[in-house]
Amino acid sequence: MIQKQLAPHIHASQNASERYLNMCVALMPCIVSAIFYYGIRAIILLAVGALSFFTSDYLFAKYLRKETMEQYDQSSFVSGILLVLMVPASTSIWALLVGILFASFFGKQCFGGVGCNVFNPALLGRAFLELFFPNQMTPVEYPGIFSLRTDTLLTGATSNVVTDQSASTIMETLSGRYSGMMGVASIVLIGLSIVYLLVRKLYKPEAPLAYLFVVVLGYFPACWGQFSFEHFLFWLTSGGFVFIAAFALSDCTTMPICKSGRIVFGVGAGILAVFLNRFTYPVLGMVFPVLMMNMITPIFDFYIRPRVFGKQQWYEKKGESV
Amino acid sequence: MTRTIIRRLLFCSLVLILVSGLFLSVCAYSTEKTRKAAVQRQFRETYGMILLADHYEELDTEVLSHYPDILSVVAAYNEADELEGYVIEVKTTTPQGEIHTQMSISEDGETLMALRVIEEEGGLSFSSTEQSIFNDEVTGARIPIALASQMLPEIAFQMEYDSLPGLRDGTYYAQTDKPDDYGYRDYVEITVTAGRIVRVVWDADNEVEGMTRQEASINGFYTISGDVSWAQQAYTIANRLVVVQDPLKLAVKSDGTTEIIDGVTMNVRTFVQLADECILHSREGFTKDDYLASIVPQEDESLTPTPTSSPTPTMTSPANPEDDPSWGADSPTPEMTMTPTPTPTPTPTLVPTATPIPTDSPVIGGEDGVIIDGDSNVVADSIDGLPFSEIRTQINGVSGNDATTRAAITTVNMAYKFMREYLNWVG
Repeated sequence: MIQKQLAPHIHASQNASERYLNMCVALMPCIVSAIFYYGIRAIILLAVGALSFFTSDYLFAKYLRKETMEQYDQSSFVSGILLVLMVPASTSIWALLVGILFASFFGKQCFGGVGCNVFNPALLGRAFLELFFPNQMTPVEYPGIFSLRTDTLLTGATSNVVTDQSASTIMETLSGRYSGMMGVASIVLIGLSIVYLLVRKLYKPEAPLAYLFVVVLGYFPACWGQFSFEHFLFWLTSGGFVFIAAFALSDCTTMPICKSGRIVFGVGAGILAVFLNRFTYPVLGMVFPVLMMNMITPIFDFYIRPRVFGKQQWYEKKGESV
Repeated sequence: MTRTIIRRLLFCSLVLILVSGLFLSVCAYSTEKTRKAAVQRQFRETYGMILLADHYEELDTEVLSHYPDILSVVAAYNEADELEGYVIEVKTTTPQGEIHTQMSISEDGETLMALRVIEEEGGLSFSSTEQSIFNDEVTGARIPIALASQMLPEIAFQMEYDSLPGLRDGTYYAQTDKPDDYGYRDYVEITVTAGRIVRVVWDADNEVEGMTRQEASINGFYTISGDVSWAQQAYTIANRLVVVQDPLKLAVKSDGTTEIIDGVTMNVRTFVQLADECILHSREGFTKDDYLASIVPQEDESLTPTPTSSPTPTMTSPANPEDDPSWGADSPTPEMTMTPTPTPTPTPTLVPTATPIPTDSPVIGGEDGVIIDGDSNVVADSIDGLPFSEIRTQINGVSGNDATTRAAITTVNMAYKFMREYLNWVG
């Protein structure tokens, strides 16, 4: 049976389901990092995030758009897990559920569901949580503090101990052992995920490379007078730049279709990220640049199109100029 | 999706999990020492001004969830790993504004070692001089603390009297065996908190009339010789017992009267006997409920009226009847308000030690519930939810800045309540 699908169409050995399952596998190092540092709390939040995003997507798809289960893939799990990895462990389940409902409905289902969304749903949900639950989004706790605490899962936890981030050693920074969001901290583990995605041929590096290039260059004007390798490394990882480069800028739904479009996208997101990171605070610099660039992705797709092969010869044959 | 693909995905997941776990474990092991040192360094920078210690450990206890205003509690240890005290950070909101304090409390939870006001907002403010004055007053003080102006004069006075030994906390009750000629059956009810008598009620039930003697006296149906009504005299003697703690100190003569209490001319022998019985019950742990349960069958047999003592009214009256026009001779019926008996508060296990009250402290106050000349003189029967009997130290506070002083005291008392519960919890 031939199934009608939305464009663009591409012939590949992998289907959407397999692609998203591979994304889930690629997220494993970050999931392990979250569980390693935040224990049972991370497990519960990850399970709730993934399952509730799936349920929400499924219910909206089934009852709002009357779609069948065959049209469904595992992108909901990826979005749910991504969102949870970007929140601090102090987040309550209720806040998370509200964020997921918002991301699922306004980020995905409003635009027509899987493959039609303009914004990255996980980032949209994270931005929503940042704006409406700012108290719970402050990553103040030291890794491990909440590893066995589940009593504040419904209310959100607070801690006054803000570890001195500047005191983090290179090893701590590399392994993500500092206060912050649950799964975005370890640059090495995120690198491992990227390697996996590259091996599986699921990663288009243009946008992430352009983004990271601009961000690295932007470090010098943004942190003028504070230069040091430790500080640079910490700024790069704690700001969530590497995580965004790994998972948000490789999202095939919300990225421009052609290579040059993706490069422009990456550069634009990078400039905005440095600017917002410098003048607002890190989470805004991590989430909003990509959402802002997502908004204008259709314009990139319209103006920056791939070259049509044979077009020039055809015009030459007819004796017309191109 | 084929089974091969699923198997491959599972294998890849497993490999990634193992590699990630191994990497994190190695990193955690190699950074543990430096991390601990960094955390301790930061603790020292944050809390060293309040309580300098060799190392600190943040408390992670269920008790904290009962105190949302307490931001953090850190235990401080010396080099021998002995507990030196606790550093508590409190941020609370009062009607006047918000205050954020940091304090250190001794390991037994009884003494305030140091206090620092970190931030005040709204209508609260402490200048450096004011904070210095306040710190001088509270440093080394036993907690909980109250402003002298918040305390009732009677309560301030009562702290000079020792409580009777062996009293157990609770409400105790005793009544006469038979009603008197008018059908009144006298009863006395005593409430003991933290080993001190904090409330005494003397009244009498009359099942035939359906009105207690206090009610009848207030409404003019029960009169005695002299100018002062029975209700007023009963209140005065009961209140005096709260102050002196011991019925013997009421100096009752052989004819049942006493000369040492102004305004009490009637026979109070029944009251003293019943109060003695209540004190005996308190020592034995024989509560009001036990007492009432034990007398009901006996009364059924003898068909004598069962005391209707619940809820027992507590009488509140102006501090000095002579100053109040509604209490004077022009008003035949003294105005007395009836309030239900408060439920006994949870028993604190710390035995209070009376702190001498400075005789020159500006004590201002009146009876419970009476507001005298504005907000600064408001008095109540408790401070920050702590009964007067539990207050260990009174301070004069910063002159002209009552609001901030009170707010700072509130944070101290909040820390005290936490410590009390926490120390009970850990045993």
